[in-house]
Amino acid sequence: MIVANRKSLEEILAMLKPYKKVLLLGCNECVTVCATGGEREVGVLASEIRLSRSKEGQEIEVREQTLERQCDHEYIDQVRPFVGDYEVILSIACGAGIQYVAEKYRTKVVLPGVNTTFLGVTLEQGVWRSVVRGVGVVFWIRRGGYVRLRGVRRVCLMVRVGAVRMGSVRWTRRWTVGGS
Amino acid sequence: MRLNYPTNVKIVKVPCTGRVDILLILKAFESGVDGVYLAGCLEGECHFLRGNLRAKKRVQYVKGLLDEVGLGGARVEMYNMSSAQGQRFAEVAREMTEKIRVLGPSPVKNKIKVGG
Repeated sequence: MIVANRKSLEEILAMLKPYKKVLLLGCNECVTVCATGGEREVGVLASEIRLSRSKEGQEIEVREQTLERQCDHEYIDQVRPFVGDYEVILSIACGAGIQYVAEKYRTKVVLPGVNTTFLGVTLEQGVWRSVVRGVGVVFWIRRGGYVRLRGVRRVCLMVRVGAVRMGSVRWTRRWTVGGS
Repeated sequence: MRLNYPTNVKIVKVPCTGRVDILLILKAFESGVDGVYLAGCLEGECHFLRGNLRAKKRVQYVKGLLDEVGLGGARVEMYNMSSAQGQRFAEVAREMTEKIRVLGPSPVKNKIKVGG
């Protein structure tokens, strides 16, 4: 099973800053089991976003949608009728789901709301053992693509094909992890 | 008993505080309430065994969320009382109202647009 951790609310709000209409996509599979990106987590995150934005007096519309799976195009296609009404898609599925949504809706900005940590096995309820390491931290960059960083080594840097050129990736101190 | 409690306290009846979900509390705040408190049975006396203990944990979780959002975790509380403690119910209602009055109105009142 894929295990992910949600990014902090502060980080998510910073990513959403320029947008007023957000489609928040969850997934009913692995990330539901690890309580990161299921229907309930979608509801909680949507509430948090609405509350914090309206506290600052800024308008935001968040539509909550939880797909059966975000790694199957049949389910991703379910949002096609209304995806155009939203400026940005915030996905809290695992990295595979986020990437597939980004591939399916190339004209949309797709933001990752989670860090996909590892593929693991369940030891007991709420406890997993890592079997295969995930990419760790997923970064978002301005052009709508995103960069995945494995550990802290730049050689493992992977850029979504066709989305951005390496030269356009700009690192800020805040986004640098592991002291690199 | 002819007890009085503040009129701005609106009661939502649930079969057990274990029924109260995190989302229910958050939706209440989204709808513009200034504070939420749960009045559950005394600890160890839940008719459904652990309902009030679950609610207590959820309240703690929501406190963290509200702090993160910037509304303040003090706007949500959990109280325990038995169904025979009418006096205590009125006392808690007054206490919570006073507490929320000090905190002031919710900063998100009437500002939220829900999509979909």
